[in-house]
Amino acid sequence: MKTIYIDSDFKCHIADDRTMTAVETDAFDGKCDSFIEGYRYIPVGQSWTREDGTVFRGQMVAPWRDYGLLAAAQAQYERDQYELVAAYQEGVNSV
Amino acid sequence: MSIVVPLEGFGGGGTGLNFKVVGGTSQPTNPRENTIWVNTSTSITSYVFSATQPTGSNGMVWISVGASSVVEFNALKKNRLNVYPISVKQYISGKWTDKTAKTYQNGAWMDWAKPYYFVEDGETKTNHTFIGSQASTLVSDDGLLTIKPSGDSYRGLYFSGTKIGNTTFNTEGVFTGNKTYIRIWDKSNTPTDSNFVASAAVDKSNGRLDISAFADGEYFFGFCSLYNETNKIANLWIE
Repeated sequence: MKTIYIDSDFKCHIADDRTMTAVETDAFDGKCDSFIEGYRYIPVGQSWTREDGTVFRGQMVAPWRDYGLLAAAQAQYERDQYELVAAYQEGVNSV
Repeated sequence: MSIVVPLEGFGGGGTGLNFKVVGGTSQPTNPRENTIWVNTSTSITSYVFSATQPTGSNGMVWISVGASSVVEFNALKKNRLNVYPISVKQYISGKWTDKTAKTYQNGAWMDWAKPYYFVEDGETKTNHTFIGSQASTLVSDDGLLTIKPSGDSYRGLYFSGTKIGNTTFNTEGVFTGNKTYIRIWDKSNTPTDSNFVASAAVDKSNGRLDISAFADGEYFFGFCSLYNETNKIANLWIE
């Protein structure tokens, strides 16, 4: 579970610029910041209208940025995490 | 006989052409018949109708054509040259980017995406797979597909589907639970109750999920609920 922040367009942010709403969710557990900030989170009881007039009600978690880019960022983040852990373990083993 | 042909290099809809391609993020007002509106904030420098990916230049719009089109039109004012648009991409910063488009026909803006039903009138239209190792109960009766998961946690079912220009994933039926969702999964993972990539809660009668940020291609589309909830799906579809 982590705290994210949503703006007036329900886009997710990892930091609040003092205009956003804090939301507690487990939808982004294990996800990197770039991934999270490419998503839109609509809380229960609220709705968002897409550019073409289609209305979506909360709760909804869906990307607004090209999902392919988000997936690539997450994959790189996981590779970096793996290498970090491997390097740490190598260091521990060498002691 | 109508045939699908690639067309290249037509610019601003000059003499003899029966259509126009326009860009912008707002739907055009007072459009002519067969105005194709590409929803984009990047200026359109040229457009190509082709069944295969062309060599791109910045701003070029590639309108792919195929037999599944629901917005076919005659490209000529005189004579006949039928064109069958199915999806659109634009070449931006060195790569092709998916865009959505609509065509103005017979007084209305027509979506290009062809609806695809996974469940229609309570009947599954394609093969399904249950989420988790324990099978759920499925009963199709009187226009509704009753699904009751077994086991514990979230369970449900999913279908393999191909998104071509579709922008929403929908369901309608009779839903009694308060933890019921429609979800989409990346094709690279076997769907579980937690590794979805988009999710929308379903209320007592319907649910809708925005899938416009997913590139055209294959995904898993599914319906999940808590193990002790019984739901009745009338329709489950993308459009």
